[in-house]
Amino acid sequence: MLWVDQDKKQVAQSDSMFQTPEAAKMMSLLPLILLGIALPATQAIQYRKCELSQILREHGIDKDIPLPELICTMFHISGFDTQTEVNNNSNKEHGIFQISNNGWCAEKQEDVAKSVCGILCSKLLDDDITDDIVCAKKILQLPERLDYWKAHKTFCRENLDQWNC
Amino acid sequence: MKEPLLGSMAMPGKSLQKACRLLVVFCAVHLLVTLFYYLSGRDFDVLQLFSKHQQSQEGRGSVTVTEVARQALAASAATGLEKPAGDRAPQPEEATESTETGPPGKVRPLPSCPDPSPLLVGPLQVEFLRPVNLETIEKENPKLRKGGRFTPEDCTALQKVAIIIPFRNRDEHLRYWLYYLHPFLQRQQLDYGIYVINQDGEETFNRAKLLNVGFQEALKEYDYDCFVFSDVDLIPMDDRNTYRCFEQPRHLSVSMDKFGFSLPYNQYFGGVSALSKEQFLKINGFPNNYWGWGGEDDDIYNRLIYKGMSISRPNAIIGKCRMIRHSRDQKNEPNPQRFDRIAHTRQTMNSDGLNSLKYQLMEIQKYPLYTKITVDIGSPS
Repeated sequence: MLWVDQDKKQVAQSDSMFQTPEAAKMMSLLPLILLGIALPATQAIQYRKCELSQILREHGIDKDIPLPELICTMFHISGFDTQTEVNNNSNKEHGIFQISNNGWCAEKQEDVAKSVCGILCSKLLDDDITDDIVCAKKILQLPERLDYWKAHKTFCRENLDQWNC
Repeated sequence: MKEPLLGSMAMPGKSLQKACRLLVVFCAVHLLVTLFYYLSGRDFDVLQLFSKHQQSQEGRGSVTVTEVARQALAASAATGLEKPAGDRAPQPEEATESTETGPPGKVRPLPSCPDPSPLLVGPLQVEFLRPVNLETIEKENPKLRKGGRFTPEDCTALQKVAIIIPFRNRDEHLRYWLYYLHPFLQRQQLDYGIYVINQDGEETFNRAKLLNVGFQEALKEYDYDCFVFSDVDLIPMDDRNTYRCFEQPRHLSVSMDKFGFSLPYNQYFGGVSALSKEQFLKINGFPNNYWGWGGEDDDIYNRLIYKGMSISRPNAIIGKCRMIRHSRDQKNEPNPQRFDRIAHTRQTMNSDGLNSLKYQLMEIQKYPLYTKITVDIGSPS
């Protein structure tokens, strides 16, 4: 409290940097206002088909595989919900790509280094899908490629126009 | 003593205070924007509650609609039945209710009800914020007979429809369903009955098998010619979406709020569908071996396609529905076998279906608004 008066003096002195105190405030507020608008938009995501397609394109996942087939597969395994968690016999599948804990991701921290994707499975359930995409790219390097996911053979080899964006 | 201390603290104090102010502004903006996204994500459910010109003072829009419908029915009864019955010539029909007692005092054959029904109102207000109770629904639907049965009084319904609802531990959803659907179905002038098929026990849920049971049990009561299969948490938003059967198997829940009011994929056949007795028998009914969530509706779609049928749908506006949001049910986990099973429909459909259906009837309860059939459908073999 004691230094408030001093602050006023200091503020008055440094104001010569900007034209007016109001302009100075606006300049410093602007990035924070933009951040304030951007941040809520990235929370709690259930993706729509075309926004997810755009993100996947940006990450270059469609270099070797057709994007509509991938999007179709992802819909049928997770419904584009980043929090999808499914028990498959003795294994558990996580996130938007339904990545399995039988070697791809690890349930416990001490096993992370052993997993192919080198990641904690719970990290695949958050809203940041960058790490999910990196891991999915590794899965797609298998010879079966998209057929790794059973949904692909069942749903995503024909009638693909509906998955275009 | 104070001066040098203050002097050294002045710079960090100034920026700290500035940072605090900025943080408060940031938090306020963040909160406002989050609130905005939340409200828009809910399709303005909450906002609609406050819009005065859409709601009556005392109750929901659908309550007012019921009264309008009742007045319309009374008016048409008073003026007699001289209006033409659509594009179909009125046909005298003998009493069709052979296995159960219909409305008393019906001697004169009635003309067919017009298609479309003159009682339809179009888009409806559907929300799930205020609780409903069964007594209120009973009071608002006095023309219903025991077991949730209704037959139009002034004309012969176009179809006799059994509505089959697979069920377990969803009483709150069922109350909303009955609240919205009874007035809806009566305005469509259908001869209908509501059958809630309750899975007994704690085994994994099997939706399709329950629907098979519903088909069989409903037919024991009345010669229904059409079967509507509806999830308990799906409410239609437009009464022009007639819950009856068509030339081809009908998909009724085409435009769900859950999927952004559009079809999630072209081959989707889940939610609410309608099959005539012939269409259902042609595909040997539904599969009995899909335990857990998912796949059984895709199997049914495959069955229809393999038997040369196609899917009929209303447009995306008329086909709008709301789903009552809820967390994933216990004992209805996604079925990991579903993709393999769907790939083999052609091989399994002739041996897995109505012709292999086995269950144990535990109880049939006739409530004013619905018939509840509790069955033991066994467990995965």
